Amino acid sequence: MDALTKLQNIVANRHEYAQNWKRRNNGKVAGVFCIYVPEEILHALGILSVRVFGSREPDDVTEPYITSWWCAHCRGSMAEVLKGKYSYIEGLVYAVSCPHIFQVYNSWARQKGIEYAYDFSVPENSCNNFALDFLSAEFGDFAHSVEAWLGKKLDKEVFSQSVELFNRNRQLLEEIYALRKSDNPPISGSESMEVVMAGMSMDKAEHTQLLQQLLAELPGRAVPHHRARLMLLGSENDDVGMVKFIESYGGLVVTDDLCVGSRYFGGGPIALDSDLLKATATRYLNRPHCPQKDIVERRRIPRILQQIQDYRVQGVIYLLEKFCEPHAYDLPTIKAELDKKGITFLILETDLTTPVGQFRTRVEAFMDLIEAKVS
Amino acid sequence: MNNTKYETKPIEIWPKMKELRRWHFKHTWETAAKGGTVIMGMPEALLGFLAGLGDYAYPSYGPYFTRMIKDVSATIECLETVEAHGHTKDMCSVMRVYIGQLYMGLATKSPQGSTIKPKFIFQVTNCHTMAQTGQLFSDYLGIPYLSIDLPYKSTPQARKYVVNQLLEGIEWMEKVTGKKYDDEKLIEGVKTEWKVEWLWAAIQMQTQNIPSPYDLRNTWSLRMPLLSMRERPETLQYLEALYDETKWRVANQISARGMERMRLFFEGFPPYYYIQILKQPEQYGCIYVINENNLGHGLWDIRPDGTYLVGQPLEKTGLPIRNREEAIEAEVELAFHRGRTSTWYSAPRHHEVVKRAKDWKCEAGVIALDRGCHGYQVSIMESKKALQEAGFPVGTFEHSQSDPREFSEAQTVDRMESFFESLGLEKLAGCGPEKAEADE
Repeated sequence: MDALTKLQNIVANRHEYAQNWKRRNNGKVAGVFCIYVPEEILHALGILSVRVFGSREPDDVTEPYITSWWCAHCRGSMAEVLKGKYSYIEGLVYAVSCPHIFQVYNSWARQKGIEYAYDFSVPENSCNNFALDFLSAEFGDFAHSVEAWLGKKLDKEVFSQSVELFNRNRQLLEEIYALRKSDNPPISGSESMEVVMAGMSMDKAEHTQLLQQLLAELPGRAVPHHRARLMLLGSENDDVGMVKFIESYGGLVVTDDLCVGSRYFGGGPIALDSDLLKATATRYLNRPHCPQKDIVERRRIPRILQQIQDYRVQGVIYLLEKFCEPHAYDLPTIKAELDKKGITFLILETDLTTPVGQFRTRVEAFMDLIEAKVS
Repeated sequence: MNNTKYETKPIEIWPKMKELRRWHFKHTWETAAKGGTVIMGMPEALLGFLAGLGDYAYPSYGPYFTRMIKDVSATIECLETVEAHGHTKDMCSVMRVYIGQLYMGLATKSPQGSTIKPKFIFQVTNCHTMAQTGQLFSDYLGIPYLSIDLPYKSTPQARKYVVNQLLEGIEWMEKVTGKKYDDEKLIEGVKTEWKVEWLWAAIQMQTQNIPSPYDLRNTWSLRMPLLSMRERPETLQYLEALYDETKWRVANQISARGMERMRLFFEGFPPYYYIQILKQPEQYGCIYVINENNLGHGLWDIRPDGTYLVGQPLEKTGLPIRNREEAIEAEVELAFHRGRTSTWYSAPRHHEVVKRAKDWKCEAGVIALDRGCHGYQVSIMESKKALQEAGFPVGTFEHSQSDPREFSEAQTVDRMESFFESLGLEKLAGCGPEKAEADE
């Protein structure tokens, strides 16, 4: 079986994968929210960290716990929890980003009697001069907390090996993304999202091996003919179906600014310094940020513009999750910057379910617009 | 059900509160006219810190919020302006009213028509939307932005983090304003703020008495000077007078509304354009007596079981305030002793809300499900469940605190009436809703 198919299977069966991993390793699984949790620490302590994703199904179970104007990611995640899909998870870790996710984390811990739950601050003004010391200390407290939970110490050598593994993993993902800069990318946007999602759901060493295999297999592969090269921006989005939907109308997603995408692995490697916690915090502060963490200095916009140039993007689709405040704030500013550059832009407001007919019309019109511009 | 009738009297200090509020905004234009320092933002968590700027002024993110919110058409125009600029309706409705003023050119315009250019934006990131609003204002007005991260957990590194940011922020402000920061005024500001916060907590505790000297509609407005000018001596004088009046009212069993057949909690924000909803229980001889947001001010010692106790006066803490560093450390200490209304402090809310209902001797209450404030809604449904599990009947209604398009007066009043009736209450002759006597 080729690597891509294996990775896709893991995404499709991520709960079964995690349960099998537990059996195989006699280990614990921690659900993590947001991309600011230093998974390297969990890995070094023998824990499988899995990113909490939601389902894209009508929700009829979450309203006693969270209000109906919470984003689809949160309602979908909470629905999965309440339906018992995450029953194998013993620990929860939340690196604070948005209040919606905080509610899911709290409700989960309260309603399901989780064995271990830990949350910590991540600077919002990530470029201030004291953010690094603070985040390093927060990571330190987090590490101590996990140690207390497991009753074992974080071994420096093992931690260093975990960091090396994660560095290698991120580098491979960067290489796979870089292949999409070519005229005929060997991998589609939806497939790339699955590759990243798999990494958030499985053992990092196994994922790294599969990435190596994938890199060996991709040359010579080609995706079907496409009408336009697209970039996706937006809220937390693990909706592979939506990306497939967009690509089914001739768009090829060649890059993204999504936390289930380039924001997850971007930002370079962790330096293997003597103070590894600080080095880890440095990487997490310098990573591509979501709007919530992109003050005072706006670092998100130049990065997006650079990606547009590097990947020769012809159109940008902003997948704005309904009720997502951070992105609703940034949207007009981003749009204005892209308008200045003449980049064709489309906003799709997403929710648990997709209005297929309406979106099809809009995506088709968007493709026509790009083609008209290009010609 | 308590059918005792108590004596009631107007609150004597009330006109002073109104005067201070008027002064706050008038002061903005006077300061601007004199060439003083005007800044923008919502710096409420760290007002003592700003005292070192001297005679500075700040009109939040615009001076006309109250005026807008009293006029539904003006509010809607404001909100639609925001939407026309590409933002969605899902953002905080308070911030949208401010952002609307920005886009309409009102945020920096005086009633006389002159325009001010604030020196900088100052924003504390205890609310995620305020932080992004600060960014937006900074970009739009082309003025620098000083953002202070205020973590939600009170840890040694969190305190050190905030202290360091503030110390560096002083140098930053001196550079931006071209004016020397006054350490003596900082020290005075922090000491004043500490006293004011202690007094407010002590006053709030008095509302645990039966009868309560004030209901929630009273305290909602009485706290307003704390929101905007807590570090000023005028506010301290006001709070001292309010404290004395409160003790007198308690000693003489002076009631807020004359009856307390049932004491009720009201959690969440009320719709600001329909603030009289806080007086609805009066028709049934009841009062709303407590709300988490009112405890967001005050110096509190919050116990693990959710009990709110008045914190230590400054002189009993042993904290010295002799220089800039010590004053900043005390300011940060104070910031971590306020009520837990921060967006991020959600974990203990569901048990604090139950303890609060018990301590304020409530029998039931209402939760306002506010589509306009996501931060405050964190854990609100868990709070509802916890209250119900503890035996408190809970009524709910949906609204958006500053977007009147998301509120139905008729439906909400009807829904609340049904809830009150379900508690075995009936309307009493001669007890009717009065028009709200104060602005928000």
